Amino acid sequence: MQRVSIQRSRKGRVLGGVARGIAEKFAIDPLYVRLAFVLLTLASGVGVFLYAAGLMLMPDEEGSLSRVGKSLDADSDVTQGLAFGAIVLGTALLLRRIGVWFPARLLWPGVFIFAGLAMVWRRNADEKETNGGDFHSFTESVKAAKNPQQIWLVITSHWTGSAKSTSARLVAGGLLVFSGSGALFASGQPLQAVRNAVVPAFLLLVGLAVIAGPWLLRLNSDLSAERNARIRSEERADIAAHLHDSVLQTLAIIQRRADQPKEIVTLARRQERELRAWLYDGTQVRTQGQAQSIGEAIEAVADDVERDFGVRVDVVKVGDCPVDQRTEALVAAAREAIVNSAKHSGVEDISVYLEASLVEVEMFVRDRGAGFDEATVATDRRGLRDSIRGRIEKLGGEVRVHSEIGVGTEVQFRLDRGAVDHGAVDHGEVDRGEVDHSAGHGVITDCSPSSNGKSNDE
Amino acid sequence: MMSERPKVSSVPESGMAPAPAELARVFIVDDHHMFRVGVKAELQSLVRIVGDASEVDAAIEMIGERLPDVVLVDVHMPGGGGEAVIRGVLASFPQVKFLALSVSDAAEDVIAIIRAGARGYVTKTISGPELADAVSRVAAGDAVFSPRLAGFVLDAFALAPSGPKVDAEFDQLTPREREVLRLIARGYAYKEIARQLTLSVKTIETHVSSVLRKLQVSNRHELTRWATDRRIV
Repeated sequence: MQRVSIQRSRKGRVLGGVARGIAEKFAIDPLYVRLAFVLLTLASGVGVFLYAAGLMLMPDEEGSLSRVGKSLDADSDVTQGLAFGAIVLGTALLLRRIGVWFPARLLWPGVFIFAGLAMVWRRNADEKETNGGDFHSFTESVKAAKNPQQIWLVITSHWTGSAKSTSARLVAGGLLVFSGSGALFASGQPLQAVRNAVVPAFLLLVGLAVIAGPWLLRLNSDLSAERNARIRSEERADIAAHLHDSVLQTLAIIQRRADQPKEIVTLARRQERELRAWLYDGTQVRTQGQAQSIGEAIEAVADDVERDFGVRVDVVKVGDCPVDQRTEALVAAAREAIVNSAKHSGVEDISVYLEASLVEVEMFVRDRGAGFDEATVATDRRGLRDSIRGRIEKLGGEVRVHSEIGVGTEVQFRLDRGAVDHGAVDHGEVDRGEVDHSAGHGVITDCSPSSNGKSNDE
Repeated sequence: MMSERPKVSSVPESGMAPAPAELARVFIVDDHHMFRVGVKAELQSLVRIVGDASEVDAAIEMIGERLPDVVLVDVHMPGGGGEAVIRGVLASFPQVKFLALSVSDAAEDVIAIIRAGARGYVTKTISGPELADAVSRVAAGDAVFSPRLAGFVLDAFALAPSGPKVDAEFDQLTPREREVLRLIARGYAYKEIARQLTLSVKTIETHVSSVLRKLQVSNRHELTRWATDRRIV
């Protein structure tokens, strides 16, 4: 976002381009602005102060500061203090001219106090504006760091860097405010003096508010309307970009492969899954390795199998849980079962049902295909025995296979979420008396899982 | 035989269920012309299409005139969507039955259309014969749950009740209903579920209808909240 600022004009400038810059900003004839400066200068010199402040603070069109500003380093605390002081002093002189009387002993402390406050506030405004960017570059450099030492260096330099300029400003601003108020109170009868000056100034402010208030309000509502419009158009751009990268691309491919119905169906399915995840779950179809949850992981598996074998894999999920060693094994085993269905069942529809509770995860992979008799599966085919049964039973889960020739196959998985790495093979195994632990490893206990519900005890 | 099927419904029945030999009279409401044409072509020999509409108001009027057995209604349409059609028709003609069709699988859409009074929900990718089957099931007063809808219901009712007082009947699923829903979610057809649980198909239908009724009348705040929350999770 570009910061809206007044820039000094380079073209057609008389002195520093301040007047022309202001005139261009508000789209009026620079002559009027110059006249105003002259009048203000005649009014006990206010114009000179204001012009000086403008010269110091306003960047020129190319973003570089004037020599005055540069030599003072416009971003430095001194420059800003001076500039604000000039503005305050000029304003005070103006007020004095039009009859609001500031006794000299009040004027100078006032200038100091306001300049100090301005520096402190200015710092806040700056921080707000740059925070996002700073933080972004900060996180980027943290990410780029390769080892803990580097990360530590980045972090410390970041904090000390920003803290240094912040505290310098605070100190300088604080000093100004402090010395200003000191001078004020040293002048004797400070309260009466303040009242004498503040009441007319306050009345003047009220008058200004009445005159400029409606305009400011309108400006504000215009700004927020503009911001909303911008947010909307950014959202639209996001959606458009997403649709372009996904849906439009797929549609283009589909048109070019109109003669391959099976491929088109696969493409459409993939696109549907991807769009659905984006629209309704707010996620992307990730690869199995990127998945954050077991639900995402199994969707990724379904996606892969659909692409590789040209089948439909419908996934229904109830509940979800994070991926850990155990659930990862479950997904891997389920993948094997889904691939088996895709390869051997002879049908194109496979149903996957995942139910995750706090205690356990269940998964069902089902097809209405050819079916098989587990006893007749050749012993050298290790998929079912090792990749499916072995994997899950090692973790204390259970696998059951229901298959009927000509009716279909369902592989059922159940795995406790319980202890993550408790030497599950030694004592964590759980059995509900439903499964035959023919492999013979582990102690079969009849009690409810001792480590269940304590997934946080690592 | 069909009229003997259990009619568990939140609206009074008027005995207009078709005789078995007759084809169900079906009305289609969808704002996509292509889709209306496609559904008509697929269902032509399986049901009797009595009309179609593409707008909410026109649909309510025409359904009132033609009184079809089943209305296939799209969830998303300008002017209030399928929900508006269902509420508009049921207010005057409670005997008309609705089957919601949508490409959306957003939980909040599905739950909302069921609570408006639809007796089932299927996605638009459903095949012609399956759709005809769902239509005749709805015409007979039964509920049609797709695996995904069953998953949603299980998910929604799995939440622990938040208030101290939970209506025992309407706000919870019985173990048997849960079992049936789980089998639907696993991809089982009613007939297969009946075999698995050694129950009759009719009993399965009763269970599903009773789940549908719970879904429609339950006051569980969680139900709506769950459906809405699900979007942002």
